[in-house]
Amino acid sequence: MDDRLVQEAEQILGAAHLLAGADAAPYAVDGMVPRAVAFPESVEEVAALLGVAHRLGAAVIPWGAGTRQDLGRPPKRADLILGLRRLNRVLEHEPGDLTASVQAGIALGALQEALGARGQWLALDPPRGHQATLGGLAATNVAGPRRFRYGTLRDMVIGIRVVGADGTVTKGGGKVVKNVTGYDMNKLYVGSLGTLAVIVELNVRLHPVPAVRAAVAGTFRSPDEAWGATRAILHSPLQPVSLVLMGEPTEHGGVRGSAAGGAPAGIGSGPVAEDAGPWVLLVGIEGFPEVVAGQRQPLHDLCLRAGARSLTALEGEELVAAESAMGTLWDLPSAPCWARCRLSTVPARVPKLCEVAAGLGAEHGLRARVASFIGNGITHVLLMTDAGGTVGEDRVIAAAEGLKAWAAGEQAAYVMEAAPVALRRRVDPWEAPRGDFRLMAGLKAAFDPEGILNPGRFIGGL
Amino acid sequence: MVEARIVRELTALLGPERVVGDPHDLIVYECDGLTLERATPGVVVLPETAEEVARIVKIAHREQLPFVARGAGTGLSGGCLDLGGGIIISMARMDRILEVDFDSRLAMVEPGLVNLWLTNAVSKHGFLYAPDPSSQSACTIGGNVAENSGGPHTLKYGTTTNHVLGLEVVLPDGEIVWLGGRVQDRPGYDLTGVFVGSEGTFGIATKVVVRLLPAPEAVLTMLGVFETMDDAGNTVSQIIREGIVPAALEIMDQLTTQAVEDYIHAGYPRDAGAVLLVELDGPRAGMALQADRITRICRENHAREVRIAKDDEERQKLWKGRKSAFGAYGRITPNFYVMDGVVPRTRLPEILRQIEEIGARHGLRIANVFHAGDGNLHPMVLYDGRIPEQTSRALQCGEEILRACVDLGGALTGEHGIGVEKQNFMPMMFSPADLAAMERLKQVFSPDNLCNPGKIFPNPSHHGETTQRMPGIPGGAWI
Repeated sequence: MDDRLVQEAEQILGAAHLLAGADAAPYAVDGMVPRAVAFPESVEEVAALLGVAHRLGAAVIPWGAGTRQDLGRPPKRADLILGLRRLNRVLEHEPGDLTASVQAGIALGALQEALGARGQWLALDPPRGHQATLGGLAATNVAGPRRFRYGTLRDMVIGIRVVGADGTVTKGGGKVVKNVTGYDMNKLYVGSLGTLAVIVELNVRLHPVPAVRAAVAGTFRSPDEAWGATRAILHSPLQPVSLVLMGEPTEHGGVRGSAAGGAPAGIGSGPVAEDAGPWVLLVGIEGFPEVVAGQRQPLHDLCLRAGARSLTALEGEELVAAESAMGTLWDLPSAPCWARCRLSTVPARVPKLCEVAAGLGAEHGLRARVASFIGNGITHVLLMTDAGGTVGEDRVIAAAEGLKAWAAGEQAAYVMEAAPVALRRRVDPWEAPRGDFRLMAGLKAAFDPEGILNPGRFIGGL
Repeated sequence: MVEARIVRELTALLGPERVVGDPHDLIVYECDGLTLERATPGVVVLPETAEEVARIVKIAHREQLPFVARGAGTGLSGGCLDLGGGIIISMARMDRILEVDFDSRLAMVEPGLVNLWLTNAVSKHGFLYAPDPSSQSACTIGGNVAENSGGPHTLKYGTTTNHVLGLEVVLPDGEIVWLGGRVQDRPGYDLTGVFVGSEGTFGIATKVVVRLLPAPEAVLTMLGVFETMDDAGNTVSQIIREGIVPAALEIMDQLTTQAVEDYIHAGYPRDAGAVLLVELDGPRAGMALQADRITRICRENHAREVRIAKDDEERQKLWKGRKSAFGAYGRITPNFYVMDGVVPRTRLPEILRQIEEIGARHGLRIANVFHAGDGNLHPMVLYDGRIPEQTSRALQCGEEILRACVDLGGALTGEHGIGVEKQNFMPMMFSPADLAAMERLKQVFSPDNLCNPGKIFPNPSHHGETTQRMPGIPGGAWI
């Protein structure tokens, strides 16, 4: 081994926590096999590794659990994978403060378990997110349906420690929930996809584990009807924690056989299930038992007035099953070619987006499935085709670019969150940069002047 | 001083009635709510559109003149002082609500809009704007954006940054750009997030897209009366430990409740060691049970009395007392100096003991009123500026209190900002490398450092007071 990067990394870590050569192959990013994969166990080691990479001009890919490595453009280069799984400790958890300090490599599931033992949780529920690390979740700022009540990590991170591109360790924020001391550096790093610095520690605000979790699931014939219910809820003083619309948009009003459609198993088994529509609105409620009980009936009534065909009260295992059914949109599809796009609109435009997705699906010979966090206007569209090879890619790309163009006209936001690498090599997964891009490029130049952190992966090729 | 030809150019742009240059008229703009710090501005202008703001900023940029935006001047850290004798850009005339969209639960407003006016405008539709700094009847949304303002209800609802979706801003070179917008999670760096709380050093917001929330179905305000501060503090900890997150948890000490009673008769007992104000909001269902839980917790912590406001009038009165604390102090002391330190909630009893010691050591009384739910303290150092040495001792008290907060794992400021007031304390919390990263961020927005210069970062030539003139009682200040 005469690779200086490997040699110097080995001096820092020892051979036991370093992969190189053929051993590095499983950590290929978009087909690029890195020269080295390093697993530091301390912030100091991360800093030393970045110092080496900076000196040698090696491109660094931070890696938590690897669950979202298909987000963004393929990197320009991938020399050193910085695996953070050994930085996996809860550093502090003070229940009386409703805060915790954690290392970036801890998995969300493991963290929730540790916090749950003391009656608290990090109010983040990204679908299929148990393995994901806190650092990775912060870098991508992905969230789940309960963002309607709790926000995203952007709202929960109160302090941060990062290692900069040159190996300098800095912090921002602090350990208290209310703090305006200096600039809000947390916001700079959360959602920056590891392109400005490597996140190594996070201080987060927590919430009490709700005593009861429940949901009202209504089925509707169309997204418009489901929006009617959503709108009534948004105008009411009711306090649901999540609002999820699921279904499979098709061109003619959306009525497709509900077995093949979006209604997940276990939902719609209420009294009028037989002619229930294929669109499901899942309204989550949680808190003290009397609060949950008091909201169930009004939510029920609002959904009925909006035209719900069936209504089911979910709790316990049924609720978990319904949430898991929603999560299938995040599983690796069996279709040969696919892409999952995320669009942000104002909530009222979600039905229109479903219609557009249906039209694009019909036009290009695709199936589309939708899971929308409709209260926030965040809609995930999974495009799938049975056609393989470049034919399948062509179809998915045409539909995805159609969604992107529609989004641009709507002032909506767009990103292709996930797709096979062959497809992503042919298309920009990000929306076109806007007027604020000069500031973003300025930030990248200021914080990573040599361009070694996840080079080229972020919007506009940052 | 701003050169006469520049004043003429500004006057040609805006008309004489929107340019303030008379030294007598400029006195109004010398300070904000922190009257210890003063600086006379070069000239004050009052634009009415984003385009006018951009043209003013372009002139400043061309002439390399410093400029600073100003809202209502209710800030408490000297953040809107014109230290460089440049241009103060008053946003007072840009105070319209441009759009309200209840389906999307958002509003687009101009920065000069008074915070409370927004809630007043949407309340008949059952909505509100959640951030409610105590100055909300005067302070502006733009100022709230600059300072990332909080308020009593941040415990449940978060601060301004959690409620701003997008901003139209004039960058320090005069370009107008949008950061964020109506929709959430736009790909790219969170420029909205870093702009909020940047204390006016990144540019000037000219439109603000904010979240609206539905007004809660029910609100219930309770008053717990305690013999000792420790009992009140322990009650707060237990409420949180039991999984209850009220909308607000506020504590006042005896010095404060007595001053408030003399001032506005809010109905607080005069002889209690501490009172705890608890507000619950949300669905009506279950609220009575929540109140029962809190009553029980108060009793377990030796509350002498637990009172539930029986109607809206009593509720308003209890809150008026809390929000008038600042004004009330004016009746019991010639001068006071308010701090804004934060500690982890569980360290409240410890910091209060330390504050008492610090006051005793300097021979000054310190009153306490604070957002107990999130550990945000407002220790009020009472002093008489006419007595030699008292001002410097008050400032010394403040510094020691903040050092104690930081040593307990807290922060220098929870909602007032660093401004000029605490700039030299920044190294208590941040290393030179931390500050260098912040400086790098600032350079991206403001490479010429003309936009509100001289704030936030340590300045060795600034020692406590900017001014020689002593303030009177700050009448229009809130916390």
